[in-house]
Amino acid sequence: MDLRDSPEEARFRARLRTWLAENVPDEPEPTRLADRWPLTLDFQRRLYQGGWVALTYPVEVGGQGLGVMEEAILSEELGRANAPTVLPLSHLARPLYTLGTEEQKRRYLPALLAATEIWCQGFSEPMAGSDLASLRTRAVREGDEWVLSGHKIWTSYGVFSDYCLLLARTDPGEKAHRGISAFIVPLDSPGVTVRAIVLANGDEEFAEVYLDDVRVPHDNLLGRPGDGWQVAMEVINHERGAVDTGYLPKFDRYLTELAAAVKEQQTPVDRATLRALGEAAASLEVLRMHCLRTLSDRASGVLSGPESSVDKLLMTAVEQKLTQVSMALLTDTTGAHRARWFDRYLYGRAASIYGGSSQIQRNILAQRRLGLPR
Amino acid sequence: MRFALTDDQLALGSVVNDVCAQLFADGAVREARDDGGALRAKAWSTLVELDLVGLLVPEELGGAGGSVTDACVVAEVLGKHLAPVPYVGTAIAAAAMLRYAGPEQDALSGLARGEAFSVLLGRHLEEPAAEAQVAFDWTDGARGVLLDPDGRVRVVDLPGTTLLDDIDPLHPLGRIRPVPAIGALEDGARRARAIAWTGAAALLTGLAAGALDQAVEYARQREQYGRPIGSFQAVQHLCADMLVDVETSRSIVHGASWTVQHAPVEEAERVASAAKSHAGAAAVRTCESAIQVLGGIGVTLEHDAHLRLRTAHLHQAAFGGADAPLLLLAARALERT
Ligand SMILES: Cc1cc2nc3c(=O)[nH]c(=O)nc-3n(C[C@H](O)[C@H](O)[C@H](O)COP(=O)(O)OP(=O)(O)OC[C@H]3O[C@@H](n4cnc5c(N)ncnc54)[C@H](O)[C@@H]3O)c2cc1C
Repeated sequence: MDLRDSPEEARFRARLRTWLAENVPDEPEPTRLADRWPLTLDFQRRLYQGGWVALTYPVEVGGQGLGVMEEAILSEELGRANAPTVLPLSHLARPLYTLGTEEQKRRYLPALLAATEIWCQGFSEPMAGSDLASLRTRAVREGDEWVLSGHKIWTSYGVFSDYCLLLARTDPGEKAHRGISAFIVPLDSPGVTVRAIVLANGDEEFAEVYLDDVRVPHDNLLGRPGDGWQVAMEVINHERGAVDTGYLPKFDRYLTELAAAVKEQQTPVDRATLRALGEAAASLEVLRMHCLRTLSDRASGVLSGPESSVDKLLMTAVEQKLTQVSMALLTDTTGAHRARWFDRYLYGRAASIYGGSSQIQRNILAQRRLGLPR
Repeated sequence: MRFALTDDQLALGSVVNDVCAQLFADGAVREARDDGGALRAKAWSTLVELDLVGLLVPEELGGAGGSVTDACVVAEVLGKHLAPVPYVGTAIAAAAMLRYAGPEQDALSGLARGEAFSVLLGRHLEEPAAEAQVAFDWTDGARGVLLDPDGRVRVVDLPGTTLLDDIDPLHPLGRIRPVPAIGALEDGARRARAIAWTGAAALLTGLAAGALDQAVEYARQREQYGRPIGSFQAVQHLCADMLVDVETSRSIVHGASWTVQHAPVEEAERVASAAKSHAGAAAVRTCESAIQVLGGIGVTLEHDAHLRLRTAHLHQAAFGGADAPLLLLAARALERT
């Protein structure tokens, strides 16, 4: 246990601080996704050019070849600098990196990480939400091509995306998760229709994707036929952590902004609300330390998978506590902040649904970590 | 940056675990409620012999010169075994005050030799505003540790102390003749308070971990409707929430244990507050849930589930009440702008 920076880490942090001081925009981040999206992309690209993306990936595929603790430093400093939200898509790069061919890595990874090509995750379907393994989208091999047909839903950033990492059933004879494969689907392929779904806060954040005999070359299969479940787990395990998603600095910024809004409102805060705010702040500290522990464990290779559900449940608790307390704190209807924070609060309600609902995380922990019988 | 415990710390934890398994075998802790302090005395002298009581006392004063993380590793294991010893009160909280708000060298040496010391608190277990009235985790003949009105640490004799009829028989409270005393103001005393909070959080984490183990073991064995109760989703989700509480408490306690010793005092206080409030609430929740999983047997005098809940409540309230860390965090959050 030594939370001091090593000399290299300290140099990394110092370089990063200098860079952030010069590159973090002064204007507050817009709440509306449509207004925010171009700025998010712009900042993500600048981050990439600055050398601050995919720190642990090798240089050949667009990474920086650094250690995991640098990821923790990056999270911390982004939060401290009030940096804009980072594009929460880097978890999609994981299976490309671990299962992709050399050619696939070279072709797709740098552009994904640089955010010059945007990716989305085509897992969920209308009849396959929590029970992902029941998905029905099919892929049939025809010579050197696969023909895909089906319907994906809740595809985040689908309307903004160039590629979809898509799960389809390739072996109808196999049971559940064994017959699923993963494909790289260019969304401009003939037969693809993307339709926006509007979130309760008005954002067109996710989409439905219809696939109508869409043809992709065999080279677009990721891994071998039947590797789809492994791809999904790789994505989901990383989607569940607050460092990989960039949520740790985001929540840090939320707390700073919330404090500013409370100050501006000039309404005395009662003790019960202070206590709730204290709980939210405490949960953020817990998340910070828990992320350090997870990264440290990842570096020493002792993680097996199901414990990422602890990370997900904790991350959800932090977001939901912070946004709930904002409603208790921001009571002045003549002030400028309530509607904006309500949108965040609403978005916080999704945290216990996406990436595997909180109930599913608890099932995983009970059965796979605690060994309780099915 | 390295977050994991060292091999030495893992070994320390497993030694303490073995010692506890022997000391507290066969429900010994349940009987300790009315053995006149015999088990408490025996366990304490074992911990003294192993140099664990003087862990935070520097070597030149006869202690083991260990880190706060080491002490937290010990406290967590003691909590798991529900050890009826004043480890947090004496070996962590009192030692930290004597060292960081002092140093009071003679008292530190005595503490490492096993002499009894008790932190003095207000009647709500808060930091005294003007007067201390309660000796925390009282042992007969203990001397009291307090901050005098000038903010200096002082050791006082406590003649005429009687036992309060409070919630936790394993960690008694002494009613003392009121002594003038104040809360932490100077950096050293503030750091000592942060260490006390973190130590309490470590014990609370262990209490929760023990409750989880008990609940899971029971849920695997106990059958109703022809199947183990652990196969019911409602029971599984209770257990999963307990696991999240235990693991997240462990994360913040380990992080805080380093921070309170090495970071600037503001940061030490912030992280310690998070540790104390999170682990406190988590331990109470977890000990309550364990009783739920145990069913009827969980609310009997003969089962130790209620003792866990008692010790959890007491340590959640100690050194400032359950609220103090939350209010500190809220104030810090509002200062952020
Ligand atoms: C904001 C947002 C973004 C998303 N982005 C993506 C994306 O980019 N790509 C993608 O593929 N998907 C995405 N999703 C979809 C997400 O993964 C699913 O919503 C999620 O898996 C739940 O599926 P469902 O909505 O069909 O709900 P259902 O599975 O129908 O669940 C409904 C309720 O039943 C409960 N439930 C279901 N099964 C069980 C069980 N076995 N035990 C206990 N309770 C159970 C659930 O917990 C939930 O409370 C996104 C969702 C949201 C909200």
